Amino acid sequence: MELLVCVKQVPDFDMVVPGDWTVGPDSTLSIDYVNRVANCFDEVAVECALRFAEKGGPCSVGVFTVGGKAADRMLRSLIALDITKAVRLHCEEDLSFYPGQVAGMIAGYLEEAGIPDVLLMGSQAGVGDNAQTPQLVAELLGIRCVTNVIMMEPEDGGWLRLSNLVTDGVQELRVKGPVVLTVGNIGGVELRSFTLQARLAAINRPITVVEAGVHRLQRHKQPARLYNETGKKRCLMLRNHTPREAAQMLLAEMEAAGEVME
Amino acid sequence: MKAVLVLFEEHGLHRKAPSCYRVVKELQDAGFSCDLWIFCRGNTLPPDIALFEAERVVCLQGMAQAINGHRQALAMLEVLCEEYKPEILLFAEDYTGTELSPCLAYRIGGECLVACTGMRWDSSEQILYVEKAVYGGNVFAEFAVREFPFAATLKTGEGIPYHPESAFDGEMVEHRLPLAAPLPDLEVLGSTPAPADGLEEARVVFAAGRGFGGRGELQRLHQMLAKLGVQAAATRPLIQSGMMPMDSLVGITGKSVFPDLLITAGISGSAPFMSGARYAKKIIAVNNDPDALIFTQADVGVLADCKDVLRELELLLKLREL
Repeated sequence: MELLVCVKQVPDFDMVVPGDWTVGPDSTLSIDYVNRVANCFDEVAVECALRFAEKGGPCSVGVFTVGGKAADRMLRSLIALDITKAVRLHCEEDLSFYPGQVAGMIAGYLEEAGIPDVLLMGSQAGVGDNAQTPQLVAELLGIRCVTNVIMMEPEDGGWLRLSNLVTDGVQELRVKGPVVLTVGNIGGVELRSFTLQARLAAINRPITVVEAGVHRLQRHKQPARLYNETGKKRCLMLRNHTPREAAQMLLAEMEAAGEVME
Repeated sequence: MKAVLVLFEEHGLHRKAPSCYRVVKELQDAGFSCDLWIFCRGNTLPPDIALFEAERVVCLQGMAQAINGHRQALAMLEVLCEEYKPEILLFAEDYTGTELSPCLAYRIGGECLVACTGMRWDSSEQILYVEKAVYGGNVFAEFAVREFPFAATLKTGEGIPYHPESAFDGEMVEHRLPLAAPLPDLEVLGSTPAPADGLEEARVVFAAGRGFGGRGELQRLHQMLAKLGVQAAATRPLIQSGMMPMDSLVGITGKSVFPDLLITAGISGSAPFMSGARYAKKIIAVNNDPDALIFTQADVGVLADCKDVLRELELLLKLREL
């Protein structure tokens, strides 16, 4: 079974100095100094794919990104894990607010290269927070999309057993590929670390670079403006409360809010 | 100009409805006519049929469970859009709305934005201005939509009360959805319903962050909150490390909460968390960092070490039990 994980490189928001989130004139943000890292949900997707592959059956796990040469560093870190191939669709443009174009490029590449049994994607990525690229890829390829998967296991006969979050609960299903799966937060699933030895070995492993084709979905646009939400509260600071006094106050507040059992 | 609000699930409708109603009302005031398309399971109509002062309510009964229901719904939405030709399609933001709205927009040749927090129609320019959080919730963006049809999901948040008891005097159309044909490569095995009294309904929520402590402290916190009958919540790092259950995540990629009182402990107050916490009526923050951002968002700030406060809370509860 072939699994391919789409990974997007995004700025590491945890490194941004809080004051730098203030939007400047002309709707600009000055956060270019931060490192670029793999989108957190895409990392969860990679870990899900690796765990799936470990659970049985012949399975290959590849990673795929749309981006410029700077994304190779991220791909090298990923292929230091048990990843069989890494592909970068070359594109130097910032398409953070263009999920339709990104979906069009991914679908175009897969139509040429072959659609994997399972295409795993993070449910959304920072900057645009568009939360629609996977659904659009599935639409363009004419294949099924299961969103918010929280568990995936192999079953006999090429079936995948899945649990996914739906509006009124959790759904259990079996599905056969080709299928697009989206992954968000999954408790206890974090991308494993690579060893230094594996990272060094990955330096010489090839990354396939493919020129991006014609964008089939041209729409979506940059924001007309960026802004900060106003309305800071005037916080009553209790700087000298002892822990006992703080605990008493919290308990009293919880009781006053009316739901605390006596 | 025509707008349509599409509602799928009754689950949490009372939470989703006010923010949808706020946007619909603004569009109606700007001269839009508005339809309401409701997908309901079985034969049961939602009690809030008079919602949104819609001119026409299309009730689509017999929606199958989950993934098969989504297939049915998408096919029916395409048919309805072909017939009615709305310029704007609004979906309440839940898993169903987020899954289906981009697909529908693509199929009818339109655009889509997910998790929108507001909308404003400029009739002189014929532009729809749409707001949503971007950059992981750290910044807001306004998009100018000039081409239609346009689809959006509306984030549950600030709204205005609606009046489901008022009489509906528009046109009522009922449809029974055709059965979803079984697919050879897909089998729904079952589902577990979400609890009706989940985090979103809690009046008091205690949220822990990375600065709260380790696995041991969190276990003790759970035991204490269970005694008090208070709902526990957490930020993403604690969920990812497996120390707190997934359904306790609050923030831009988790739940929004609407309690009378939210206590945060060891939480910095970053924008991704606050986007889910901002609707709490009162926030009390405990943190030992005087510069923590949370103190600009809280009503009361306690400068203290969370572990010390937890220990004292446990002692106080023990004293009560004696």
